[in-house]
Amino acid sequence: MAKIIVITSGKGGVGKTTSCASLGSGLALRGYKTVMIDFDVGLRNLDLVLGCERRVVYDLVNVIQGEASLHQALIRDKRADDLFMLPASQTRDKDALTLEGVDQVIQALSMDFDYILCDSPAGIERGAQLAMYFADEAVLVTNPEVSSVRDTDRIIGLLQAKTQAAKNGGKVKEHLLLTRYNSQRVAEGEMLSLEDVQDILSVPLMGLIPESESVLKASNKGIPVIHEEGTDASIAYKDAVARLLGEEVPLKFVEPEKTGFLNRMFGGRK
Amino acid sequence: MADATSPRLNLVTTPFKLKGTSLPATLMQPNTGQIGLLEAELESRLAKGSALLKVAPLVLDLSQLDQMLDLSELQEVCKRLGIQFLAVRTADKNLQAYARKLGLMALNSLDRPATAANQEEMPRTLVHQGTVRSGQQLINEKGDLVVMGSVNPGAEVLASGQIHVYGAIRGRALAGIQGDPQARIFTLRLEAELIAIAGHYQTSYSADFVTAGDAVCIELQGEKLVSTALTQL
Repeated sequence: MAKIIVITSGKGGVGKTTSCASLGSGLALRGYKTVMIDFDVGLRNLDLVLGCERRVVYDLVNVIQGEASLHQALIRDKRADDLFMLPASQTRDKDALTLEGVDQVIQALSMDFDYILCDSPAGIERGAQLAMYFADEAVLVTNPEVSSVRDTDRIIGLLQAKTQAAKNGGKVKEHLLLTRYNSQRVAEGEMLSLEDVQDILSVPLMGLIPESESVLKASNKGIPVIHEEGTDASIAYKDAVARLLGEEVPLKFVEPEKTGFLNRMFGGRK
Repeated sequence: MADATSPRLNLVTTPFKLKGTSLPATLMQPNTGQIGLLEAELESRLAKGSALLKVAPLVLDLSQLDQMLDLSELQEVCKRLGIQFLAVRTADKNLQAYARKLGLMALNSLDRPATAANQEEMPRTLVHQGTVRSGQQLINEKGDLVVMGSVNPGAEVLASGQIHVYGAIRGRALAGIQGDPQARIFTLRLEAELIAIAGHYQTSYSADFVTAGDAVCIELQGEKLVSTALTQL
């Protein structure tokens, strides 16, 4: 049976889809058969970040409504053989999704895959609740700023009330993924620190992704940033994948880098 | 123009308020159906100055009685003695109908809830394990509330009694919501958006907001919320 993980946040634009693509790629690179489902019906994005937007023929709504089979709709990633994605529909809205339909799709996928990543839409409405409903674990993507932290807090409340696990008296395992972390700005007091965020959310940290230009560049190229070897973001996402798999990895990028004089004069940001 | 049916301002919109209330009444459980015996006993009790009979209305409970009792005769006796015979409690439908005919209230003894009313009123402490998250609301309308965690921004905890938070209050905490001015709020860290005791509230916006910071107890002194550091107690 596959492990079902929802990538969620409440707030939009914090890096759910970017993180989903990198975590999915990371799991696949480790040899786990992984499928990502884009639940953001109407605002299809995951295919862009993966660079497979021109290969989308059928989507999640087509499968749920019986217009296409799962195998027709699944797209294999061109970089990692064990990674597949099920795109969202761009022309429908979230009402086209039904709980029964999602259940059937997830059950069918669990037979063939090790991990199912559900890329949740922003918000706390139906789309987001459907994405989290069947989850065993949740990755809470959060930026170090107050509104993002509060929205994540709200989502945790929903995870504890509106999921199948919660209704059966269980619990969705929570992981905090702090993205766009700029240790320099934290040191200057312009950003919430890791401590501040954990103080409020009290959820175990799964990863800390430093703010980096390489993330945006990679997204625009349609490459999950984890493939950009050597960049801080790639290293951080690989660590996050390791922690998701239960490995102990020391935390990086918490403290600002000590820059030398020359670097400060001439060096740019990586 | 504003009138009662379409008020322009939402100030006085209802001509009256409706609230539940309970009246003190004296319950009489007769052990005999003989009016003569009952009358004699009532007279002697009144002569001794029984306040239960003089002041409070009388409710007759027939659930224990296996004899016949003439309600109209008893009603006459009560009228003569100045006792306010108010209601009859019985499971017997015919008797209920007869009581109504006599102008008495008929209470169904079968309708009584399994738990006695006074048992229901017993305050119970509600203990919540874990953090109260944004958008969540915890209410204990009868008793105290204990949170084993923090109350996060955007969350709300309410209790008719005390509120204990073994963590930080960053959201809203309202104690004494039924109007108990003795209610207090205890927390290990006060960073609340709003705190209130018995309807007297303060937001973190107000200039004289009770000192935020470490472990405090907040109580109502007169009209003011006052906080005391728990370590100083």
